[in-house]
Amino acid sequence: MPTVYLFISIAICMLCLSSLMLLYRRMHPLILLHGYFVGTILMQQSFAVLSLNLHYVKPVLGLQAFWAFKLPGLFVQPILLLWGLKPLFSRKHGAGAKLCLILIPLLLMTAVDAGMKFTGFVAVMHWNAFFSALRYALILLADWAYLKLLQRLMRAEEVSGL
Amino acid sequence: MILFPPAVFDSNEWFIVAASVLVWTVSLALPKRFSLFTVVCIWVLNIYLAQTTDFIIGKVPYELYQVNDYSEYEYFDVFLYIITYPPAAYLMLEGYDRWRLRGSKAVFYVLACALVTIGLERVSVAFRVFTYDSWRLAYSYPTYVLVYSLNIGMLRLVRRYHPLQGLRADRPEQRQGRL
Repeated sequence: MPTVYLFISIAICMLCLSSLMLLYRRMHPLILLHGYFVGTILMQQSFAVLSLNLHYVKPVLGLQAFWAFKLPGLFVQPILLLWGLKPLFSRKHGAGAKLCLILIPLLLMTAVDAGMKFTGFVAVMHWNAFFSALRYALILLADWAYLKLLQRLMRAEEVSGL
Repeated sequence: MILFPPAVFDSNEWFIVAASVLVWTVSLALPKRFSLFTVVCIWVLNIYLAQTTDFIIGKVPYELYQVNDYSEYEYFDVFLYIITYPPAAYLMLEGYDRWRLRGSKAVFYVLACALVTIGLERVSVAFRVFTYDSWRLAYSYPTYVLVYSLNIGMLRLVRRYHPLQGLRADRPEQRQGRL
């Protein structure tokens, strides 16, 4: 079964990576890149603290399990985070629509975490789906605040394409 | 504990502090070449690369090496990622831009910079910043070549949207010409 889960994980990663083409047309490439980098950095740091230091969750040892778990952490969740950030930079949507468009990626990111628990790649000790959603919401807010400041800096320096 | 303090504030911590002071001093002493936005791009890319690499091969299940005192996440690990590593890549790009290196010269420059970084890593191993398990110093060489190449790629990408980057600060007439 772990091999099947690994292939499913790879397939979802490829789907997310191909969705980057859609995001690339709608967002500035440098904003996209920064959003991805900072989102991944925050996710990795928070997960390292939760798993290595606090022992709230524990990834299962084994190379297949590691990659089935690591690949979504590197590609699926950061790209879903970018989809969550996109409506925050859009002027087309109202507040209600924005909230819905942000909630969908947040729920999907939480679902990926739940999937990791379901497949047995992560053992959960003192953690649940609500904490997971809260973690991603905070990362989304931090990433959004960073990108807003970055966008201001880009305007001040007259970076083209904004 | 959210982040672990050092087991003992000894040689590895002192080395990290001294290396950080040194690279920051050199970086700040050089004439300002890149805009704040470009510096932020370089910084974020290098934090991402260093942290991702360490979290993949430096932690379980691979654990090819250990950074600092514990295999857990420490204050000085964060210090390394945010303060110590990025200025090294900044200095490499500073030289790349200052001497306007292209083609084979750029390739030799990247290979030479990776060699210098290997030397620094060897010293850091002596000070127990890194403790190798299955890792060898030779494996770090292609890693640094890749990291520096990605940094050059990032600088070129930034230049595409920020055309003033990459013009020689020591030749202001070029900047005016491009404006």
